[in-house]
Amino acid sequence: MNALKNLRIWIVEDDASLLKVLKLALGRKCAFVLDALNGQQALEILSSQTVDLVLSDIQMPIVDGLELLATIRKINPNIPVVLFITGQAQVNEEQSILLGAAGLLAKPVRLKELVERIESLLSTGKLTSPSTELT
Amino acid sequence: VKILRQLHKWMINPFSTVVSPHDRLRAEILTWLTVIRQIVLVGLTIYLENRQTPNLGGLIFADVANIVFFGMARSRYYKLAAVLMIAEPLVVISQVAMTTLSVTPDLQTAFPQAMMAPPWLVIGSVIACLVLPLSWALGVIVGTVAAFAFIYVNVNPYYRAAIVIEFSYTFAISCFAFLGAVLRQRADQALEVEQARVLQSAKLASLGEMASGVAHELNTPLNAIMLNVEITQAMANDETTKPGDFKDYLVEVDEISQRMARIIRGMKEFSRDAANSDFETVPPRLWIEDALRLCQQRFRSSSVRIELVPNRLLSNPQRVQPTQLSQVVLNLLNNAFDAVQKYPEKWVRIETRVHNGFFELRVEDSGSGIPEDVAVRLFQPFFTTKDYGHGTGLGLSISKGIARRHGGELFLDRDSLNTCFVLKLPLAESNAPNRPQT
Repeated sequence: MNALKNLRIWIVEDDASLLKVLKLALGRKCAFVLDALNGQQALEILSSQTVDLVLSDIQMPIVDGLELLATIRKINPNIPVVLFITGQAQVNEEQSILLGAAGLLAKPVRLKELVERIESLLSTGKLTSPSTELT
Repeated sequence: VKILRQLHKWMINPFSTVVSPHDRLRAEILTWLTVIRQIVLVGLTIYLENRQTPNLGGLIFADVANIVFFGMARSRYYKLAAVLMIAEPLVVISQVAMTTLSVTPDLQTAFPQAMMAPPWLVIGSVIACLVLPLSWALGVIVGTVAAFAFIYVNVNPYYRAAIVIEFSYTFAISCFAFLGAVLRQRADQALEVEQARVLQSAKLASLGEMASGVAHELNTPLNAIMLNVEITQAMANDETTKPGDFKDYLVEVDEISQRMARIIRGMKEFSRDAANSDFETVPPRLWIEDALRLCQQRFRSSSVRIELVPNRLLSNPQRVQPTQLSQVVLNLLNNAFDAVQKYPEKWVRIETRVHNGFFELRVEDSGSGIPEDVAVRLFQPFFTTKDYGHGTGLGLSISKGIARRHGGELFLDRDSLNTCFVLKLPLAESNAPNRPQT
């Protein structure tokens, strides 16, 4: 749990209620939680922020989770991106693995499950703390 | 053959809106019988009048009246057709008087006899038209029998022969028309049952198309509820938590649950068999938003902007079948969604207005219209431009049927710069029909 304390996490989710509660829940465990309502908004602030981990919904307006993942991969391949999925999971899974997602979590996701996933990323060395610059 | 084809086109095309093959065949047979009858009559009249000029004006009028009658009798203008049916024997009777005069120039016998017929012809036809169902067919039968009886008292054998041919024909087509009307009524009943079945399966097909969007739509708020509950559980285990600290989380959970309940209600309403559902007095906002809720996620995920332009009309109650109208809106939105995919700018706008005394719901998208060859077939059942497995081809034809059952119409606005479908409904609360209109 302590390992999460220094993490800077970025949540991208188009549902305001879920975004709010995710930010609140993770905010109690992590150093800093950034939020964005869609991929486009996330990309706009991409250059100005430092971040360790991105949690993003896959189905979003304007720029979806896969496009966001591809863009982040181009800018900094070291930042792990975990995607929340619903529906056509099979297709999404293949696409996101190809694009280099660090993990997939099927909605509805529990806080415990989310924290465990982040901790496993930390323990396998895929996620390093403290924060790295995005640019 | 060319001339015959052209004739056929002129006579049949103005009335070719009826899609039932049975009706079309009946109309064609009747029309051709009319033509043959007129040719025989002209020949006979010329023969009887010793090659003098026949009463062509009367013949042409009777012929046009016949054709127009059979065109209208198959449509909603059947009452007008019945009026014409009364006029037609009057013309024939005048013609009879003139012909009798030309063969036996005896004013004392021919004219009064000819003139005696119209009153009871008219009375018989009017009574039949007012009292009996399938009035237009029975009206003709009564008129024909009356005219037949009148003519029989005439003495000239040639003339009697001509009249026997004339009225046997009319009697035959009347029976034919009557039989056609009965058959049509039966076919309509069978069609209604079939339409209800098709409506239900098309609805389920469109629900299937939206299934993944709806799963996302429900999963996301469900996730928010679960996380709120997890936080409150953690707070409950924390001794420093005060009772008031839970309030915000509970309010949040309550709001999200209500949102989910609305989505579920929309799906439940939509999927139930609503073919025979009752008319209810509700504002248009209700059935428009029910449809919007079901496809909003799909639009958002694909970055298609969707807008319901605010208007006070949205709150004015109308007497409608809300679930059926939701399906119309959903069909139009699904079509618009598919259509705008190929355009760089993707938007769909729903507007309402009052136009020519009707309530209009306009669903406009960023597409640049529909090619003429597609537009003319848009409302045909099973016509689709979507890929195999992506469309039933029934959406628009079913929607048009629903609009018509409400005494309205569904059409493509060809004057709009963008692609725009218009759902037209009667304005007043009271004009929802008690029974389906065709």
